[in-house]
Amino acid sequence: MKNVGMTCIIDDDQVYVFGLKKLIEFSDFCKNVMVFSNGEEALKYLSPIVTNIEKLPDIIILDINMPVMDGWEFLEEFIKIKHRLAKNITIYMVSSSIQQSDIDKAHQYTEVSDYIVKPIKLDDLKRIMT
Amino acid sequence: MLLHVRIVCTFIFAFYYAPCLFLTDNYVQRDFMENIYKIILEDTLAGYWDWNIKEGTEYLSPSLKLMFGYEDHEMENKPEAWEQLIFPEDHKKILKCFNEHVVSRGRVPYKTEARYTHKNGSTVWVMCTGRVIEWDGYEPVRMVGCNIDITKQKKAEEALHATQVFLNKTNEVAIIGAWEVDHLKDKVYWTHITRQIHEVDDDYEPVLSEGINFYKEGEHRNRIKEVFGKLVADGISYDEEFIIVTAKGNEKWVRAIGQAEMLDGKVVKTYGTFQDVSRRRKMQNELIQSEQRFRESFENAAIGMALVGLDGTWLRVNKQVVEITGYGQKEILTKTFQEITHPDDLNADLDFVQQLLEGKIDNYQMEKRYFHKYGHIVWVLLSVSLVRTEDGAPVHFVSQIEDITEKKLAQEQLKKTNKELSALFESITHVSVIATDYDGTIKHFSKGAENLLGYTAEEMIDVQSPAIIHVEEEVVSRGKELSVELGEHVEGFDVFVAYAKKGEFESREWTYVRKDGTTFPVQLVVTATKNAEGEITGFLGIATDITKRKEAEETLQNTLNIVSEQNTRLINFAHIVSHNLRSHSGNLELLLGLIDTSETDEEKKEVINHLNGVSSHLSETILHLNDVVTIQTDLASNKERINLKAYIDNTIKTLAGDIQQTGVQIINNVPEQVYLEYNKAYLESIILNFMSNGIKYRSLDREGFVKFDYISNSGMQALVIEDNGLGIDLDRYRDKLFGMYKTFHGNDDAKGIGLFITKNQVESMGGKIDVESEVNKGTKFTITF
Repeated sequence: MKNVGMTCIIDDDQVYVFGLKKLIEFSDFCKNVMVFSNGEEALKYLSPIVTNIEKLPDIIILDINMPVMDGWEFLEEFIKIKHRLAKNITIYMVSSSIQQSDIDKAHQYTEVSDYIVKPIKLDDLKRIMT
Repeated sequence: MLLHVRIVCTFIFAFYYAPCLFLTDNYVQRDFMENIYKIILEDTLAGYWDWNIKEGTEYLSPSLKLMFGYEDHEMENKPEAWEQLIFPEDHKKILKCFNEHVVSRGRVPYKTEARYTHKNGSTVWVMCTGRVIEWDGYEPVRMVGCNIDITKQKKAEEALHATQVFLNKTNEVAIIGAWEVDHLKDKVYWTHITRQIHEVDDDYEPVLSEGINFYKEGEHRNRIKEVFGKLVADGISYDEEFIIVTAKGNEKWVRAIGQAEMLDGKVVKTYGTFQDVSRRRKMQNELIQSEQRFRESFENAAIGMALVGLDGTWLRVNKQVVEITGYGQKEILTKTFQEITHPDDLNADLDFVQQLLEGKIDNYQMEKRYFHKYGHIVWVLLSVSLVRTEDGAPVHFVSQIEDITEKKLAQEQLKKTNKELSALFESITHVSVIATDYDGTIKHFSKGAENLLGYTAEEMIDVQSPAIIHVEEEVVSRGKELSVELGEHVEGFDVFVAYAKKGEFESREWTYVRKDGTTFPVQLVVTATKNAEGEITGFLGIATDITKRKEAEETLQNTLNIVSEQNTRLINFAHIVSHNLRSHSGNLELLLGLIDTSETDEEKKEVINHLNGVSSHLSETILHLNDVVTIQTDLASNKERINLKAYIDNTIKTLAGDIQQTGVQIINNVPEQVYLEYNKAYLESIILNFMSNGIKYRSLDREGFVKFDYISNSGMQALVIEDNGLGIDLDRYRDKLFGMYKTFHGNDDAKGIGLFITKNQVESMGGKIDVESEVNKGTKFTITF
């Protein structure tokens, strides 16, 4: 079982975030959770701390449809700062979209480990942890 | 001829000398003899005279007086009687002759010719002879004599002389030479011309045995031998033509005539003429040859040839005429051309004949019909000319007859086909058929063309080229295309026929321009028209009005566009279902799962609160879905006349609360008289959306405004909505601006549905939305209705 230090949720759906946080709590998925309601907010946080191992999340659970900066845009920006990151961050794209085009697009990014269709379930979290 | 005259001449002289008078000088028998002579002389035709010189009396016999036209009693018997009648110059001659006779004492005979004037005024030639029969010493006492009337001989002699002079002259001119052979003396005489013809010198002495050698060896020499032999043996004259070889070796055609003079049944003399007939012979040969040629060409001509009498009787026909008419060579000679000519063509033919005879025309040509012997009709091309004599009298007609039945039938068939085709063309009123010559001048303009284009055939044929019914720019641009395709410069009329000229036919769309300037699309097929030799003589352009097809195409395209829009909407719809509905259902699932795991009431309550939230979001999403679906089904929505300014003002009232709260200024610059034909609900929704967006995305740094302006330009109406709000980063969001559930500012109440619906509404009414924006400066939407 992996020991996940910090999980970063980037999603504008507050209900979903609430539920996910409950699941994480329930499953002991990680120690800390940080939440951003769109890509831009997340990027604003991550950019200054790329070298700070303590503050960087281990996992990012990224939504696609968000205002201001969506998941795809975030990925593009993330690629730009990736090489400066002090640690390896695993990204999971989580979306309610079951369109094949979205799934295929997500898999084209090497940075994306997997595409999970909402709602995320306890089993999904357990699979990530193993 | 000349020789003949000579012979006559000789004869006359012989006669002249024949009646010689012998008078004796015997004095004893004088009286007796005197009486005898007197009787003889008075009874003869000759005149007798007895002159008593000493007494000055003279007896003149009645016959002598009669010689001058006088009766015996009308003339006195004395010398003065005849001295009055004699020509003065001849009187001198007589006296001179008398003196010589006397001086010579009778040795020089008294013999002379003298002229007297006859009682009737004519001249009488007299041969006077006489002798002194009594002398007194040297003085003559009495003289007697005899006068003979030689007027006739003299006249003949004169005439002969004149004739001879004339003949000599004419012979010289006609180059007729004469010859004569005296068989008794075996002597040959040639005249100067004869020598010339034989090309021998004037001193050449012809010899009978050699003369034959001038005749060309073989046929000619043999023939002359034969005919000359007969002439000499039997006096059979000849008149034949021979080839002689002259002394200089030239061959000549001569006409030789030979005649014989017989004496006691024996030929003593032959004579004749020579005439150089080479020229005539040559001409004759040429004539024969040309006649031969004519006959051959007449007989063997590829077309019918006939000589036709002035009355229309066939005089002579060749084989072709026999073939054309079916009548035999002899059979047709019993017919006239009138008999076998079709009655409908006869008058025209006879008119021509009349004009020919009157000299108004030299020849004529016509197509006409004959009745074949077997009754069927034969079409011929007839060419007729008239042969006249040198003085212009008509002799006969020369007709050339060419059988054109097949050609004519083909022509008739062609005419019929043409008629049918043109009837067909004319009956099609929605197809334009235009034929041009090689250079593009319109030669045919069908009813359909008149119908479609508004021009009459008269306006176009021989006057216009197809350029007038085309759009110039189209022709020019097609010309450029063709120049590239064909690698040669193509412009003007060639643009239409470049491919037709290469033997291909071309079908393409063009725009035709009617006389009134309006246009319509056509599908134009251009082909070349060719003659029998395959040469291009012109072009045929067949154009079909494809307005309806075009309209159908447009409708189809529109339908396609609609379908594709529908498809886009369907994708959007699927997206909404996939993303939004699913996110809600996912949340429901998630929350329901949490209820089970919630340990405290507080936790459960929290989850239930969230469930309520999801429930209301779900309702909202379903409403949005409804909106979207409504737009799709509202395509044929009712249009109404709407006052734009009033609607904007109404919206201001609706949003009065927000406006007051935010302090955003709404400026309505739309003039009062502006009306739109639009769907009421859509317009309300559109204006509400833009106004609320303007308020929502105002800048907090400055006094905000939303301004409405109206633009109209050549029938196009547009509403411009400008604000000084946050603006949109178009570089980033242009693609997503009007997408569903796209929000850009992170506002909590942004749903990302407004612009999506607005755009759909505008587009469903056939309009469009343009956007200009700058972040933190403002946004300008232009809605073209």
